[in-house]
Amino acid sequence: MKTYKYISAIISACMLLSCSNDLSEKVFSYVTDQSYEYTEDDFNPIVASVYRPVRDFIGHQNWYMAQESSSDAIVMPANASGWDDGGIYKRMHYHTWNSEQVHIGNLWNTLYFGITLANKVIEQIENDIVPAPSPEIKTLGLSEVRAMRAFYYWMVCDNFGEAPLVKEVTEEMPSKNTRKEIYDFIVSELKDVHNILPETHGGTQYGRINKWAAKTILANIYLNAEVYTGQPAWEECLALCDEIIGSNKFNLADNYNAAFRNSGIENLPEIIFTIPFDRDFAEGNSIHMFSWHGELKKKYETEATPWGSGSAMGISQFIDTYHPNDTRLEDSWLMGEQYAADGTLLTGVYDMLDLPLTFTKDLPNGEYTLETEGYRMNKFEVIAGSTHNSSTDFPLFRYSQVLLMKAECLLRTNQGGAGVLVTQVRNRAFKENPSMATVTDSQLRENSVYQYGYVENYIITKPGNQDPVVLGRLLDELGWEFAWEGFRRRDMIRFGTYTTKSWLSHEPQGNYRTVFPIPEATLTSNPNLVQNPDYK
Amino acid sequence: MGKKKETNIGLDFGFFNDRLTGTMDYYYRKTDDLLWDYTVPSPPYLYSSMIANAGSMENKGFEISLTAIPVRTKDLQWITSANYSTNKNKLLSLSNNKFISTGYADRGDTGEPLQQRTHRIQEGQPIGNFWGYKSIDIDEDGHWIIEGADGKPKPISEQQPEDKQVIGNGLPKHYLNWNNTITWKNFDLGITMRGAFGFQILNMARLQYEAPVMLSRGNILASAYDKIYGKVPLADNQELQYVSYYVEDGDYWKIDNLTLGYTFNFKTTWIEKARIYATISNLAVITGYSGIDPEVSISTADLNPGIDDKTGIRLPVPFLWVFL
Repeated sequence: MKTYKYISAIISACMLLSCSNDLSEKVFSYVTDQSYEYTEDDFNPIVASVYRPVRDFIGHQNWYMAQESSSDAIVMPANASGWDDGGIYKRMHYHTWNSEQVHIGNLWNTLYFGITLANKVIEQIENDIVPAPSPEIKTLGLSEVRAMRAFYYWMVCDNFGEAPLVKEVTEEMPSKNTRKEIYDFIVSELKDVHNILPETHGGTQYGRINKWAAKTILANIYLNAEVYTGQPAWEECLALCDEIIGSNKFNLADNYNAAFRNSGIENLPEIIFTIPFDRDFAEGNSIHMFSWHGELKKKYETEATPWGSGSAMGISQFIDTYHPNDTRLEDSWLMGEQYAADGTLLTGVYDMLDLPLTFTKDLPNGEYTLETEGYRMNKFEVIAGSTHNSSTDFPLFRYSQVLLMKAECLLRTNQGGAGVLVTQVRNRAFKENPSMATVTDSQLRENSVYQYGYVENYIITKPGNQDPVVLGRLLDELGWEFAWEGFRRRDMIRFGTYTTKSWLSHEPQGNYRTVFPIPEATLTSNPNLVQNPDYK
Repeated sequence: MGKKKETNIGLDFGFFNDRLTGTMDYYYRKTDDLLWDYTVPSPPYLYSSMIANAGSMENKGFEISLTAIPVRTKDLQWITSANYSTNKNKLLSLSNNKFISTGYADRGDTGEPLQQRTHRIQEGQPIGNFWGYKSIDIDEDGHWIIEGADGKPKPISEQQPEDKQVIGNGLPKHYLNWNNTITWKNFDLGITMRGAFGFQILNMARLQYEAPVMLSRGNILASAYDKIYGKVPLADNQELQYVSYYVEDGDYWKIDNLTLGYTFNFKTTWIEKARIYATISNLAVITGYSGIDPEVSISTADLNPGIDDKTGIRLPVPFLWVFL
């Protein structure tokens, strides 16, 4: 017994004394920044990584619907299948969003994810942490990443106005810079790199920023300069458009819908810059899920069933602006009777139970619609076997936008030639009626044909602001050409209709809403940030 | 990681020839360098959360435990023991120079479709505060009226983040256990009871399903059409909101276990004693909480105690008879 006591005393004494004060670890189970050895093979993947965040743009709670469902073209009302999520989609339509709006938080995080990633990649390349195969490739890679970073900062400037301008890797909590500072930065960045980037288009450059994509982005920034800084830059925009047109690398496709096909478009001369998607390897294109009715699964033979009776749909007042012979109407919008792949007529399952699933144009309001009301998305092809994710790419810039941008600059600087360009873009939309395609400069200066006004129970009850829209016909042209492409909010702000006019259930809620508020989560975690003007 | 310092003052006692024994304990515990998941801003960070050591918290409390034998005779013995504890928690600081110098962070999630945070963690406050809109009234069309930041009523459609306030706390302030064992001759009877007091529960099932607007998505509770504050039911288009109407007092008293047994004394060599007993478990719950079980999760990884979740199926705790 005594030995036992001695042994246990010694053992407990040892246990009392053993304690380790060294808590630093050598990590064997993870690959960390400190332990990885970069080689030249890592160079291209590192550059490619900055494109990843832009795929998050096209969800129903991010950039895409922030641009479209806050505009006069598309709305996401509640409906019988229960889509409402606490009314968040309607708040975009009403313009009653606050700093907790999910679209805004997601957009901010996506953009700054891209920016922070780009800052890190630039640091890694500049300091040769990631070795480049050659000095030329190093310069090209840096330029490409700087251009993509400028794109993300352009989106920050366009959507938030004042925001932090962070240009290197840091842990400092930034404060806001002015909208002008961000504008100046993106202009100078793109001016630095746009002539260095490769001229090759399509093929391995598909989905990447090359010289022409960089010029197009810069031209768009100049196009909106008056909105961002108060000083227009029409001439600078015009010069870039001429360079792009003069390169002879681009053409309008014969068919309007060519740029939105699922495959075979990597060399299409109409596409300048696109977001490539893939069902399995590059997820993010889920437009069919939130616009289509679930029964359409039987028509398109998708693997996934679209949500409920769908929500993103066309506002009737916008659909009414189309010319009856404009073939872009049917190319862009899904309407009328729907049939399954085997030919049977599709019928409704909610409030239109057993009645034909015929999508109609007129909406009672922007708050609640029946299951077959509203024209849906038809523009982007969705092939059989598509899951939640479609493989169809989302062009951010097409050649027709360059032509229309040039036309706008000509009109705004009182030069001739706009009508010819717009006619050129319209030709393929009026193949059966070529004379209808023609548009003159003076026609483009006419008021918009959009019937603005607040709608109750299918009828306009309060017209609201009816001031003529300057270059209103041109705004209409932009709407018809770029429906569903994420342009509408930007164009409406530039033409002055975004915060002044009424449409469907929307009435103006304040001019300060031409930019979004800084998201609440970011504000509360960074005390150096103050909220954007007039937002509480 | 994290460092913990604790001060403890205790007293053990026994009176009446150990017919009454007990301990009392007072403690003060300070934890520094709390390791948790901070919400960090982007920029400058790539991801919006980061695990770091910063922040400190204090817990102080008092525990008393008593065991008494009120009756002890040849045939009859009654032992009763009770344990009472109370804890006061305060978050002292959530920052060092780098992280969340604003002094608060929001936690927890109502889930879809509402997608709101449920709790706020704030310096100077205890953990577990529910952070939402305080509903005070309902308008004639059936839409919520909340108390605004200035103290005046406002319609819920005008909600702004700063109208939110502390609408309850999910951590109980008092715990009490009371056990009794009575033995008479060969019979034994045991009762265990326990309760928790001074806390609230967010009844997510009511928030989600007691709203007419959810009818198009599936079944809803019959109480969805009850009059709110005795005035009117919720409007069909009143979307889901996280308001204090769904935060209920959770105080409960449970009669956990009742056991009655009898011991046989055999005088043989191969078996000395045998006992048969009957037990009822989960006999009763006395509570004002309208949900199924007020004993909801209070030690959660996301620091959001007190949510009665709508999704995980919460079956009533079964009433169990065992005979052996």
